[in-house]
Amino acid sequence: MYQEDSEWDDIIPLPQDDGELPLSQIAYTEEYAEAMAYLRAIMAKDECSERALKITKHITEMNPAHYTVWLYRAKVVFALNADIRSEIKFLNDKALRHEKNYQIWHHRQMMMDKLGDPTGETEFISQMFEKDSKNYHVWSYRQWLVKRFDIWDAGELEYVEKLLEKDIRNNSAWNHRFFVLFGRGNNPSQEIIDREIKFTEEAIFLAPQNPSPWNYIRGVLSRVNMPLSTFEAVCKHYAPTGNPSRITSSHALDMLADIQASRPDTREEAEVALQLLAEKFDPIRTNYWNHRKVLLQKAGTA
Amino acid sequence: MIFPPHPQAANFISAPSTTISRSPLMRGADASSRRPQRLVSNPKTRLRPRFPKHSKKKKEMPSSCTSSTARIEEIFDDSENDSSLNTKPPPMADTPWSPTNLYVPPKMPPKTPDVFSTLPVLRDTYITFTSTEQDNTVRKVIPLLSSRDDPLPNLKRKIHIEFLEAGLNEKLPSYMTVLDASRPWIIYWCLTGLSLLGVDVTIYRERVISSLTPLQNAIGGFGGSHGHMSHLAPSYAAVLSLATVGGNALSLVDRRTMLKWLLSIKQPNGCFTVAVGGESDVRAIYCALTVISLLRLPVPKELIENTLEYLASCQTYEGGFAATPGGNEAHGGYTFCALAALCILLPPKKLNETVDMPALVRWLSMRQYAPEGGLSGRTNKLVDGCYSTWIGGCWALIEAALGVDMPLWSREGLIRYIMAATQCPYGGLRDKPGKGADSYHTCYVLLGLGNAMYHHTFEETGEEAALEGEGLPLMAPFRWKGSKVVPGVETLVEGFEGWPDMRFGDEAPVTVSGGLKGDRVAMCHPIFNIRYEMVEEARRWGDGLVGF
Ligand SMILES: [Zn+2]
Repeated sequence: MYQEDSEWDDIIPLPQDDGELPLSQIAYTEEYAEAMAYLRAIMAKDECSERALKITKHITEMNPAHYTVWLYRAKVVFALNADIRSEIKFLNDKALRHEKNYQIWHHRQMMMDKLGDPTGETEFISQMFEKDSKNYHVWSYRQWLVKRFDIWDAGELEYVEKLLEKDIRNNSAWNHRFFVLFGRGNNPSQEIIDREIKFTEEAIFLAPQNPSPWNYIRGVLSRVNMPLSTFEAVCKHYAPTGNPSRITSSHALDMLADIQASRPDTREEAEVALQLLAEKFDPIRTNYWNHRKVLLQKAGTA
Repeated sequence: MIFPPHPQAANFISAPSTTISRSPLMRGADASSRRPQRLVSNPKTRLRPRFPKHSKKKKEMPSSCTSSTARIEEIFDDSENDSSLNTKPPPMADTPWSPTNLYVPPKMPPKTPDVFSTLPVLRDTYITFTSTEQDNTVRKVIPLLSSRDDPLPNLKRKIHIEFLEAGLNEKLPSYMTVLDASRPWIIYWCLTGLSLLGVDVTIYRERVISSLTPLQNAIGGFGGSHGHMSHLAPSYAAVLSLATVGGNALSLVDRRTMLKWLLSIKQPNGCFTVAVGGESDVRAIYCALTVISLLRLPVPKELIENTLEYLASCQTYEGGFAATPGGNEAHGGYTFCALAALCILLPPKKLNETVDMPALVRWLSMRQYAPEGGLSGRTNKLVDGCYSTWIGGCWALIEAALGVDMPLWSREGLIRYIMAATQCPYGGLRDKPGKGADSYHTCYVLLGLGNAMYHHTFEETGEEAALEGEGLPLMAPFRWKGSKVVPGVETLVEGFEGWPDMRFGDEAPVTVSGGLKGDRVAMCHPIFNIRYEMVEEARRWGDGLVGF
């Protein structure tokens, strides 16, 4: 199609060189091979033109994972001062059709940075999360966006809560909650920390074996230099070591063991908790719990 | 997908869509054409006892996916899961009864321990999307792991070799065009998989050089294909592929322009961008440091300035590492990249001073699930065969850092998951039952099998300070030694004494290929993920270079 197009008359295509004895060759379609041959030719001239925008768009249709085309396209968009809003529109459609692709997100980030106006972005991201609410690259992009445009208080926490309401096990949402809380660098007030403790407790109540809130509260407490024992009563509630048949959370046992290991007079109780984990409640990690016991014994003799 | 991060993370991982990754790479067969093939080529399978309960169960399984492809997968999965290919034929099937030929019941393999065959003791009743996905996975895996007649199937070496050889020799179909930006990866995955299986891959030397030559750019570094921009990921895969085929193939690399290019993408904050104008994350650092150390490039101060600090700052509140500092989620792929990168810069003992070790070990150990035995990449995500490399590979570095003489994780769990749940009946290995094989997963599941079989130690020489200096090549990664002996572990899989050299039912170890016995795979370097011999050869090649 480029060969017959008068717009491309001046270009001598550069066909693909796969070497003389190629391994793992790809049987490209003629359409892809031709477009790539013309792309190589204009890239070699470092051409920034309208037709460069056309051909890069065409190639990303056939191969959205083509980082070279995306990086070249970004350069052309900037050089031509092309309309970034329409570029974002083009990206919306692409992202929704190729969920797993991640070159798109770097490109989007560069465009949005240049545009300087995040209107509509969080709404679009939420649309992506409807398809996969744990998409790593989309979350990274959202965090970049929040930082870049300082929109920490524009509904982030509420959005996280909405996602957690849908699935209390969505660890990416928990992670984002931590980001919203601490990403600004300064520690939040005691009032907010108390709220987080309560929020975590409620989440644990729904599903005590869900690791996300347990990891989260460890992170929060350690970040604000509060002792793990702040959470001791909760741990004991889900892990009454005196009555093992009523234990409902291995994570509670795990944290309880850490709390008890930190006090010389409760080290033996920590050992009991680790023993319960190794033998009954979490046998896939028997080796790890035994390792923790060894560390405990070492701490005891030191 | 990335090579670190996986399905969603990397584009350079496997083919991204379900349709693509399902089909046996480059064989072009679709599900419907495969079934009859098996019956014809392997009539023995018909003799095997069939347990209808498997297929019955499958049909009751609620389908979480709604797309038609997904449904086809589930249906097709029945035929994979009947485990007929995993089963040895009943010994008496062909032998007619006679008074002198008394019936001897076949020796049954030891029963699978409860932890790998029953649901965990503690389970929540509250159901969400995540728990449903997890339950569906467990439902598919339990029958495979607890098969009464073959709970630990043999490594189907021959068909895996065929699968990978096809990946190198046959033209990939046009729907694989998405891998066009990752061609050195395909070569690396196939070569590494083959060398793990005991195949001599040095025969591919000329072809590797020929294939990679057009990918090297004048500004330094390699692109994903001819005419693609230089990028750290394909550069990493290209350098490892050249090292893997040995014989000075590394001389293809223009070290001088490589160093210039690397300096041009180095960021003041310690990270690298993957390409000029590209994104930056810990994967970029791991790829760059691998290239730098394996090519024995001299290291000017600015090349690794602030890199250690950057890596350390990627550790999250959960204990694992994220792609970048400042808020990303802990992830198995990035955690391996971060730890391996740190171990290129430092002896492993120094990890204790650089990262929060107890939190890291805790998070790593939480990546292993029961009853699957396999490893997951993030909290509340599913097990996936490729994390046998990304998470499984961290353990070697952690064990060396802690200097422990007892095991920290369940090698047995990972081995059972890999052998029973990730081998595809037509060759190649996969993420989990229900998924298709691809070269990415085949490579990383096999590397993971090696992670479960071997133990690695770092040799402290006491001369670190003298050897590591400004302007000198990085030496730390060349001081690792691997061993078959795993401290504190006598039998890798309970009841299967002598495994992997002795498979169940073998009278004595049987040598299969490349000097490997039974189900053993070759031993790879814990940082570079290629065979130790080839790392050693690269070192000698570097020492032999005159000037720069
Ligand atoms: Zn995977």
